[in-house]
Amino acid sequence: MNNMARMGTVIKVTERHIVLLLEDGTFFNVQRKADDIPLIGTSYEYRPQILPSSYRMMIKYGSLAATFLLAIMIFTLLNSKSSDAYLVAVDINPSLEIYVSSDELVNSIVPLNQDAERLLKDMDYKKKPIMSVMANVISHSTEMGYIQKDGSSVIELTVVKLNDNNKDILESINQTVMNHIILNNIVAKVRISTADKQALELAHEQKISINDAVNKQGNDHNEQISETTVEQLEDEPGQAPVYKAPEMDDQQETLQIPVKKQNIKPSPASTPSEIERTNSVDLPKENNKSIENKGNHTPEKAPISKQEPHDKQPTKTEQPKKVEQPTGTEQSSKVEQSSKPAQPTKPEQSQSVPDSSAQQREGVINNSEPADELNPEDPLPQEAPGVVEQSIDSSQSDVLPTNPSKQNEQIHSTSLDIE
Amino acid sequence: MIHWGVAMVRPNLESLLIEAHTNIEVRELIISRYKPYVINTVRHLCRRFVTWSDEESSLGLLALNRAIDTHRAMGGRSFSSYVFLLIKRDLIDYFRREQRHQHMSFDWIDSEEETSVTVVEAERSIDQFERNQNTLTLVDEIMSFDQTLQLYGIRFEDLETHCPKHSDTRETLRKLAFQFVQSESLTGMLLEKKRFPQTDFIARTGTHPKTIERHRKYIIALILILLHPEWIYLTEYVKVYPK
Repeated sequence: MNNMARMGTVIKVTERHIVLLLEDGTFFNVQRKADDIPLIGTSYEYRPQILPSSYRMMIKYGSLAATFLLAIMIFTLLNSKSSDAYLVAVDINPSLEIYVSSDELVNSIVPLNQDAERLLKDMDYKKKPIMSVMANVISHSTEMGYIQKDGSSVIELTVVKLNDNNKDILESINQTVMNHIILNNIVAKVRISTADKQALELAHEQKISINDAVNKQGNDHNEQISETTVEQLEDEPGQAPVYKAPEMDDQQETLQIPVKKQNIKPSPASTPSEIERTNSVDLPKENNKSIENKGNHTPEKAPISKQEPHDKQPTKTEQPKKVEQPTGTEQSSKVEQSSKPAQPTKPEQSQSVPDSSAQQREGVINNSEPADELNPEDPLPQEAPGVVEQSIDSSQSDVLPTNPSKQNEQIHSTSLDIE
Repeated sequence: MIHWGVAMVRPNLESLLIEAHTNIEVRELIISRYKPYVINTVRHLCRRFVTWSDEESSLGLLALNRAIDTHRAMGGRSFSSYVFLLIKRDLIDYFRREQRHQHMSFDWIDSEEETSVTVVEAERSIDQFERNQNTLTLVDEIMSFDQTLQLYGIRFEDLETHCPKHSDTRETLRKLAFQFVQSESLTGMLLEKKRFPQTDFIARTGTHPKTIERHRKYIIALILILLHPEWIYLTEYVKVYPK
């Protein structure tokens, strides 16, 4: 009806409309164009803007085509972003295949067994960063008992690059997993490896986990992180399980925190801190020698320990000179305390030691130990136990060499000499 | 003040024009009736939407006033066509004068060439207008109808929304209007109060109030056309009589 042409008589022309009296006796307002001012009383034909049929067809099909084009564009855009770039296969007991996009967001997770299904039931992983998903997987597995904290569990990870252009996310995954394991106080065997697409396809063909396939192939793939560190820990019988951080120097400091807590409890009797205590008190000269020896043992650290004393020696030697009196002995005893904070009977011991030996000891300590830790003004009682514990670790396991700080090594060697 | 709509016996235009020579009120009445026509003509000739504040519209009103003075019924020309002619001539004179003095109206055509084209077009449009003499009588009717409707607060542009879309409804409304005109009391009430006596009409005909309300203005228009049988062309156009 609205598209029909209408014939009528103009009865009024307003600013916006032309009012027509139509032939059927009705009135009709036509939108007026700017220069269209018909005379009142003249007949007027109103033709709605009807586009030619070809044009209409063009619009019809053009819009249809445009819609399709738009849909395809959106689809490809979405698809390109979310296409799988990596596969991270996780085998704990739950076996998962985590498909990750190029921007390291999880697209999907394929559970390979029932445990995995159970694990994924309450997990929200869609479009979450792979690192946080990995952390979730580990913490959930721990909560659900798939990962035992006693070190009997094995976590196998295989990263497969599904696209050649992708960067390597292995290292970041490795770090995430390690961090999380450590933060959860878990001892576990972690094996991270890479595999290529063919291996994955092969594994899928054989209907086995890619991790198993990688294990079967043995050394064909690079095992980025050796199992040795963790395995060796397990070899130590009767000791509290300690996770030794693998070759990740950057993280060592943070890694020590949980380790300390674990180790304080289990081995109170045989701690070298005791040995060290007796040595430092009763045999100051030997201690001195042993520290010098120790300096020879660790040549990289020796220069530091030697340099600092040289710098500070004038001030240190001045102090005893001033003293040779009760105050001097007090200072030396303070120094001792700082190196052996847990010792309850210190004042007595320091009293029993002659003044000259006290001076000697002071010098010895200055030589052997870094100045900042031995600062008599700041005994750092909290750090000392940590240091001692580290030395326990190093004494208990042969494996630890990369971890402990220089001071630990020094003390450790001291105790050995004494023994 | 004379209200043509109220008067049951309406004087025709010719007698009014003669009366207007002496009676200023009648002159005013004729001027007010033809004002929409004047402005429409001026706009048409100027090809732009001239307002009453423009000089051209003043020229149009002056031409109308002169037409009242000089129109002779015996001339064989309807009043509206005479008004059109005078307005056209005055405007052409005005355009030429403006053109000569280079004082064009601000919104008017800028170039000389375009002005001359406009003058030619104006002359051509008059020829076309005169060829269509039938419409000229219709214009008088439309002007009269417009003025009458305005007494009821109805504008032409309002009628579209009150028009029934369906032909059956239109026919029903025609019957209702015819019924209404049959009743002198109802017609008297309408003409006196300038309001549709809805309650009385519903009471008499039993029409649904919503039907009346929805098409009230259109019904009034139909009734007014029925009450003005002298509007020959309008009566024919609107087909006020029911089948």
